[in-house]
Amino acid sequence: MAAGEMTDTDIGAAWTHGSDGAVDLAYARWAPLVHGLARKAVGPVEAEDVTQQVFLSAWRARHTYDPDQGPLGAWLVGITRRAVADSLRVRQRTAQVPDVHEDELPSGEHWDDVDRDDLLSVYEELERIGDPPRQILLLAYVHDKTQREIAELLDLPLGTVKTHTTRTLARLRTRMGGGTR
Amino acid sequence: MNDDTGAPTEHGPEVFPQDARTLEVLRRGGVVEHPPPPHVWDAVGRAVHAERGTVRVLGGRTSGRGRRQPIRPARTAGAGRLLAAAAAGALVTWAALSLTEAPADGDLLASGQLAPLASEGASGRAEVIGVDGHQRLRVELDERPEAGDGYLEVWLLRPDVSGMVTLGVLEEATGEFLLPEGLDLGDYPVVDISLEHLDGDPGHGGDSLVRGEIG
Repeated sequence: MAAGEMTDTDIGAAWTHGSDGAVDLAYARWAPLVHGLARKAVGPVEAEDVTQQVFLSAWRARHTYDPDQGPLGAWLVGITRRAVADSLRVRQRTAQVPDVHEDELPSGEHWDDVDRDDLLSVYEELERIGDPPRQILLLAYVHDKTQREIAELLDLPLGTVKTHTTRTLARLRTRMGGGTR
Repeated sequence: MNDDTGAPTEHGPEVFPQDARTLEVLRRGGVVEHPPPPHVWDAVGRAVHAERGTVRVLGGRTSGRGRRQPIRPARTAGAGRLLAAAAAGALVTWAALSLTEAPADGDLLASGQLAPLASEGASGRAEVIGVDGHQRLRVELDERPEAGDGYLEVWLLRPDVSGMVTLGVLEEATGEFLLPEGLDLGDYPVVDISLEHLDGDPGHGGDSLVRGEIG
């Protein structure tokens, strides 16, 4: 079975049952998100280590995943948050000189602690909410689609798209720690 | 951005000032998903495969803990004596024949005949070989039972079927499986080959096709 044929819920169920291919499926589905978040949080080099660490930790702690507490994707993003924190701690401990790499990044690429935390919070909550609200929000605010365009793309009534957008934003609001409130 | 004013924008029905932070994070993050290079999976896959083969107790969760017992020394010693006899000459031909396809020289620790348990089943032989401190179960069937759209899974069972260990999928008539470290063959002496379906249930489906005891 390919990951593309399975819903997030199916993969979560395979994971819960300890099916042999569950790690492969979860990796195929969520490694791009985990790795992408890690790249924003710790940069491209450490992101690979973080990604490995996330899936190894998840595998070793696989029996602690409780589907009643939320979808597998949200659990994995939660583990990503901890792996990022560990990676940053190691960086602080081992840094002998100020980290020049971050200074060399374009200003938009520099994510401080609060930004990192909020980015991870947003994506953890989006995984928790699932589709279609997740898709709707990303289309609206990452891909800059209008509500009408989203309704057409997802074949949903415009009113439904608007309701999802409002509700999802309200949920995400409660997770934001930094910046304006 | 209009977001700070709370005025409706063409992007959202109504955007509250409180959402400015969410939108800022989302927009700045851009397209987050970024597939890792293949070598990242290699390390994960290696570790996962190395740790697989843990003991799965009937009706319970997979667990590598709790059931771990050392291999019975008496059994190992017995196998050693068997090999000594083989080396002495009488059983050399038999041992050479039965181990010709073994990938590496190893100590034959236990063996037994396998017999069909259902009409689709097959006869064969099972051997436990010690290689480099690891135990491997080698299964050789006269022919591979038809699995239809399912697959064949190899298990070790307690004689009273009160517990079982899954060893993996049998793809051909012959297969070799690493036994979990610390597995007591005296505790799980029954080789069972079952017909399983891709139904998401990791447990034994109840359709045993082949069975036999090793010792």
